[in-house]
Amino acid sequence: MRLLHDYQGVPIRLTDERLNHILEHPEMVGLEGVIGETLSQPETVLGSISDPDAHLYYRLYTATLVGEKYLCVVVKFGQEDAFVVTA
Amino acid sequence: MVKDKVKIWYDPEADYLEVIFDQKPGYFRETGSDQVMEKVDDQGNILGFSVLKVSALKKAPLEVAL
Repeated sequence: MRLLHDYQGVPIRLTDERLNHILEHPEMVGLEGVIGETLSQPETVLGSISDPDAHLYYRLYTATLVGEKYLCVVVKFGQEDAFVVTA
Repeated sequence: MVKDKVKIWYDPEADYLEVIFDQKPGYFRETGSDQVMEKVDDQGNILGFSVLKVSALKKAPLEVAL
């Protein structure tokens, strides 16, 4: 389990299970480090309309396997703590 | 005969569902619903989809064009 921090210093949990699942996506292979970077240095953070507990952190990356794309890290703020849902 | 595989991931704590038809490189993009993202390849072919806050579907069905 990793403990990342967002741009406000809020600790955000990333479990091994979720990280392994994220890295199963071929376009995310080798991009483990950018998850934390997107949380700590996002370009935009939006609240989800359908889930008030979820926030979406966006940061643009120019050289991904699928070209120039925004990485979106979805974070859920629970009662106990905040955790990464997916990226 | 081997058929195409569908990969289904459900994360109960996150209340998040992901269904992938084709494990190829792609990216998620928005749909008409903030709750649903579709995964497509660089040609726009659908590779799968994800649903945030799945438990909300108990109240009403969700219909989204992919």
